[in-house]
Amino acid sequence: MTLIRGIISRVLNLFGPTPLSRRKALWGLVLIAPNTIGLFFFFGVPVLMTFWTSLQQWNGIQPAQYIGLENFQTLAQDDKFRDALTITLKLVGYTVPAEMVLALGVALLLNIPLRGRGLLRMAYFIPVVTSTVAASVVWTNVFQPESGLLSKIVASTSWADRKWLTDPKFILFPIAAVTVWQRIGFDMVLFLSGLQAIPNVLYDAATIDGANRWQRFRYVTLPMLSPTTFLVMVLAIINSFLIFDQAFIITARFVPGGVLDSATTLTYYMYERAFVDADLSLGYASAVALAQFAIILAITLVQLAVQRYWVYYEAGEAEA
Amino acid sequence: MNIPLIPVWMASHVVAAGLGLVGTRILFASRNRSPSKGRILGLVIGLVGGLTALFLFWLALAYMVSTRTWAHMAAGVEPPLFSYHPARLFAKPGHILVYAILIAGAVVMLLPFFWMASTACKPPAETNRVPIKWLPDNPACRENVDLLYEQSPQFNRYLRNSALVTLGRTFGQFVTCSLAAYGFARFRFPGRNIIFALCLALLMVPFQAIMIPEYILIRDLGWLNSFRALIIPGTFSAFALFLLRQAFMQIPLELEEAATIDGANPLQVLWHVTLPLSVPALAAFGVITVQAAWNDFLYPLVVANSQNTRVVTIGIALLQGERRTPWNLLMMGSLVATLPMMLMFLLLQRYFIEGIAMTGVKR
Repeated sequence: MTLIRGIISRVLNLFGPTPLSRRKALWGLVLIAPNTIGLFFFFGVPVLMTFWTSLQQWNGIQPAQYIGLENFQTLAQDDKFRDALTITLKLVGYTVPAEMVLALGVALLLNIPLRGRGLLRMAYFIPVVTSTVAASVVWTNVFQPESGLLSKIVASTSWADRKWLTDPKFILFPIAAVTVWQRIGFDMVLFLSGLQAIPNVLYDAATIDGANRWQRFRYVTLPMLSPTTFLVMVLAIINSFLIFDQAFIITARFVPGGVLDSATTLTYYMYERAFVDADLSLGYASAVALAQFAIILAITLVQLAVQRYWVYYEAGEAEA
Repeated sequence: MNIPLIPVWMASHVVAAGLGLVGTRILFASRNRSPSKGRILGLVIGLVGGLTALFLFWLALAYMVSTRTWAHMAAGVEPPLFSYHPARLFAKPGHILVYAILIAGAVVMLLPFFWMASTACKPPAETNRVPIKWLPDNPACRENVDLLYEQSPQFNRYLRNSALVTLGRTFGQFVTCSLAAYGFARFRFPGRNIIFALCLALLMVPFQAIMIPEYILIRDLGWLNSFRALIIPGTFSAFALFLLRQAFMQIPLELEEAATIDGANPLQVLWHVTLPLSVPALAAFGVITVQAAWNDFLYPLVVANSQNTRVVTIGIALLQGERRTPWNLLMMGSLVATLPMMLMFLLLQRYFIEGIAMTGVKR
């Protein structure tokens, strides 16, 4: 009897030492329950399921078969997967530096107290809120040979009859263009909030020490901004690694996935294997998803490891 | 000596505009025989010339005003009355270059929107014209809307579906996430930090990584091609939880304690004290959630791509997939689908930007 009472009081004490604190703990649990249960069921469970599905041979109709690591063995030798990975990496290479440089430039200029900078900031940000689908439709038209905006602008040069949308050599440029265009505003906002957090004292001190404008940028702004730059870079790489909507919409009008699969990004490949191909394979697509996620995770971890060589944290901020 | 700068400044506008117009009229009268073409070109060049001249006048005056004001201040003399003058915009000469760069960039960013609106209102015959025309000769906005509905008879239903999904998800997230955020922000219970960390970990998992099991889950629930699939999973969010928790934690505890002492239970405190005090964060949450739900594409494509439950992004993708669809209709469709979000952004842009600056995420 005393044992049971002891256990009960132990358990109760977990929730708090007094009846009042226990009631508060109960309230807390009740409040978080709906969202937590929902998140677990609709997002946590699929995360766990991914591992299990990736070990199966399953076309979605016949019952699933456990085949161990076979999907991953196929993956290692799959040329299409390797092509998709190359295309995705190329896209990351095109978009991330471009959007970061442009966004940083705009943020630096918009950080100057100018009249009407709210309006300008809006102009740079508005592509962020438009749907990627609509934006990609517009950009498909821009890159359309002959009738598109771009070919009209460059009408007299050799670019005029370039087949941006059907030539495997060029198809990634329209996709990268939409991505950069939609991403500049987003990165700019992060850069701006980073710039505004730099204390003015540092610039005053640098000026007194005789630093010119370039030196103030190089030795005050850049190091103080490096945590923001790091964040922007991590987010931008992840975003570009997951590109799907742009590739889907831009190639939908001609050859879905691009001529000779030239626009088949990793996500697109996964989508194709799971929902489009003649021989659907949900298990294999899951393996692709896992591989994609593992690569993103690896890249992010490498960035985290390397950041201490170039990211400057002020004392006390280091663990953040 | 006090030069009457304002009259001089105003006069310079008139002179500059006049010079520009007269000059170009003379130029084009001699070179161009076609009267209507000559008139339009003359007008355009006249405007450009006039504005440039005006800009130069303005610049010179701005420089004069600012140096004069600085001179007065350096001498310890009261600056003259016109120190409020609009020309003081260019307090620093370098700002002109900054404006030039920023405005050029902004025009490039906005160009696709202009192109979308312009093409959406062109009759089919005008979409392929070679010199770029921003304004159609025969605007056909109404006709194109009608043609769009002819080509895609269910387009209104797609719009309605998108609206329903957006409202459902936003309202659902508002309920579940404000409750949960309040629970995490203000109550101690065993496992609080671990559960919160797990929720945040979900934020790191992109949808692409769980797309296939999510599809299987929805299928096993029998929810494929239903609004339940589109709305219910979207009513739970780690992002909103994180954003609202941050906001709730910044509210002074004393206010909530005062309400508790007056006999309010936690739900009443949340409703009457915490939520009214976090309106900016709620607005940020609202606009970001609405935007993400309205623009969502991959998830609806996977779980609900049937006639009755199709959302507007998929509707547009279908139009795009038909190679015959004329561009003006596609652009009209995109315009219709973009307008609600653009209007919301123009009204509430502050909250968008604050929300992103606060969290670094946008969904």
